[in-house]
Amino acid sequence: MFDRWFDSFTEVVAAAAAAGALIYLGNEINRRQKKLRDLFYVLGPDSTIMADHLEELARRGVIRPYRPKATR
Amino acid sequence: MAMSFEDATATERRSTNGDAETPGTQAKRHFGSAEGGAPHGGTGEAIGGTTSERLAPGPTPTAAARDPRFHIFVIDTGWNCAASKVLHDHIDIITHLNIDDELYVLDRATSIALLRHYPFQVGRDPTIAVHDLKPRHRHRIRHTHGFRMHLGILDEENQVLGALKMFARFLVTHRNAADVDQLVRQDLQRQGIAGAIQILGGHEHHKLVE
Repeated sequence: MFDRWFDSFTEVVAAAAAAGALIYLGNEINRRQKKLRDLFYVLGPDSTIMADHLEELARRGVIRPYRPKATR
Repeated sequence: MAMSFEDATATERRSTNGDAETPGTQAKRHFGSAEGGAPHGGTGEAIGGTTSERLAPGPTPTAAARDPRFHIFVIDTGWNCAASKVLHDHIDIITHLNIDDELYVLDRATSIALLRHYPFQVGRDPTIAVHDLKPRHRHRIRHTHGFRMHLGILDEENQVLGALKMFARFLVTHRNAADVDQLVRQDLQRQGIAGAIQILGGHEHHKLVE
């Protein structure tokens, strides 16, 4: 009786641990993916206004190309 | 647009802009500021430094880039000190690596004035925006292609430096690629898979982002 109960208990614990590990892994991957996408944001139609604004600043000469120091 | 910028007199870091724009002059030209303006009579400091530090013309890129593939914009209001410092310490390298592309560094006043129009970007700078001048349009609605790198979300210098290296490597490697957007997405996917492997392997101390 106890053996059967113990077996099912360990099975449940193992299954819960596996599920927990999977959930953690999924969350962690998701979180990193989000952070990476936040870090490298691919421009889409929604970011056109700012991009055009920057291009306009450059076109009108408001901002000028950066000139670096001479390399040694 | 009237702009108030109390800290326009703060000393900036860089001193290498050959065009010697004073802090705030970019913003004044475009955003019409009369308040923040050129702090030292309009002649003293180049973006982030003194004109005396400017070097005589040397082997610098040509004034007009020959065949620019990208326009690169650096927006930095100075929020994130670590990221700002690393970016400005290495901006010359990025310029030299992308000698055929135009790199524009917005001064602090201009960056602030710009971000006032785009509140969602506040706090994520320093930002490097890369615009692809020869994009492959997939849809009928055409928009600017490229990507932005928000260095401000990284806290530590080594993370920023790692991201900058990745950025520089990516631009140099894929300068002639047909579809840069797709490559960025693929790269992100690869990084994501690498991250998952790291998590599985327990090597979290090597992680790139965190």
